[in-house]
Amino acid sequence: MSKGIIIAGLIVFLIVATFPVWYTSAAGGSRPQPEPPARDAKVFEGKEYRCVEDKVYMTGNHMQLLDNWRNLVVREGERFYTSEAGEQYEMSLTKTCLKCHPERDRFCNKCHDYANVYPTCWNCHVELNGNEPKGN
Amino acid sequence: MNAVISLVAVVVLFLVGLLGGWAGILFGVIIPYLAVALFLGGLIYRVISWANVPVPFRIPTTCGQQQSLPWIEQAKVDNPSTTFGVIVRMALEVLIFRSLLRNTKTVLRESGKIAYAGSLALWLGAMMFHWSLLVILLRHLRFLTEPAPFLITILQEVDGFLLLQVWMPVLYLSSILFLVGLAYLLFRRLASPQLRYISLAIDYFPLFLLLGIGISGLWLRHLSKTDVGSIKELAVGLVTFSPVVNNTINSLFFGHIFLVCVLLAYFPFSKLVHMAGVFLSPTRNMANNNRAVRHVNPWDYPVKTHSYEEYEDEWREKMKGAGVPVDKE
Repeated sequence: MSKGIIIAGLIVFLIVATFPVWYTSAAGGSRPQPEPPARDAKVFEGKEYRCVEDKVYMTGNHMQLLDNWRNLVVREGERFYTSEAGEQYEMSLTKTCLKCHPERDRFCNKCHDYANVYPTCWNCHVELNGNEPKGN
Repeated sequence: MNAVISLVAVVVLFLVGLLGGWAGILFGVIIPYLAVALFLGGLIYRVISWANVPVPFRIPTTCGQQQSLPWIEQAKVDNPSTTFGVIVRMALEVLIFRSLLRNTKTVLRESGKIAYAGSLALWLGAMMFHWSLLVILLRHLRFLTEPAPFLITILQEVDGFLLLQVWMPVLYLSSILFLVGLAYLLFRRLASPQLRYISLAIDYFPLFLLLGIGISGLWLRHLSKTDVGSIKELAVGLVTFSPVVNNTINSLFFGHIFLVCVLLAYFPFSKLVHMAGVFLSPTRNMANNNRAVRHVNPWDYPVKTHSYEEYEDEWREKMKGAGVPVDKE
């Protein structure tokens, strides 16, 4: 093969291989991960709420926890969850998560959009605060 | 033994990466940059050095009837005589590994007779591994680009949907095919005594390395989950040259990323560079037009010739005088 073609192929490869670099710069540059929003309702109706599990666990595993809850409640009929710390919670979004994280746009979409994940939760669940649904 | 050495090497490298969490800047920033620089620089170096190798002869492997008289049907792809035929042949080779379809196995029948049969297992394993690797690489663009391109989102949704959206987070089909393909390619080397005999440590090392990357990646996604936001912040920071390492990233991520760095750095200097080399195989990328086109070996030095006409011109008078017949009076 002639050298010209080989060099041309090499240049095409380099352009493709550096796609994340020029694409991200062209699309607006880096963006730090969204800051977790300040909690609105840590104290709610005179009672202080803590998350069912600690923050590190929830950051990584909230999807699994929610999935487990769904399965336990809907399929097994179990309604109570005992946390690592030994506290009992009713497995209900309205009575736990949504107390402190009521808005989908602020608490779900912000990070999900950043990480480019589109879970199907809201296909069935009703949004409390009337946020406009965003496409999945 | 070769396999054991390679396995131990990969395990040690993985453990080194696991410890990397304590030196996030080194393992999250410096080593990835070095690895990518080695990958791109090494690949350029290899390809340029190949480009400088003269290919004086037309040596395509011909696998069918060459171009001949008009009433003899030519195998236009297996024995291409035009650039278009070569492009089709190369595309089929690069995209669907057509030459692996020719793989055969030899069986000794109970009757004592030897039988040969086609064997598609290697082709299937290679297809599974390579294509799912491509899909996995593309899927990882969701970390490396901000915002992620629409097509990447479609790809990841389809990849999850094909396995019926099982598990949480959704299990990707490509993750499974990648590991199954690799496991078969490893099994193939270990199971056959003939193949084991010719397999070196450098044959096993990439297999174990890729398996290590695949397993640690799957583990990271499904079992020991970490803070994806911080990982994306690091990845996007790396591609925009302003990296930030958060301490919320777990050590398994560093094990995973370190194996990827080893793969990238090792890539251009190993058999894996067939990614670039396949395009430069002289037995595939040349048209079989030996007889239709004159190919001059660039090494040929100018040969001093003395034709009969020149000889006659030089000696004509003496030839005439001696009565020797001449062509030109």
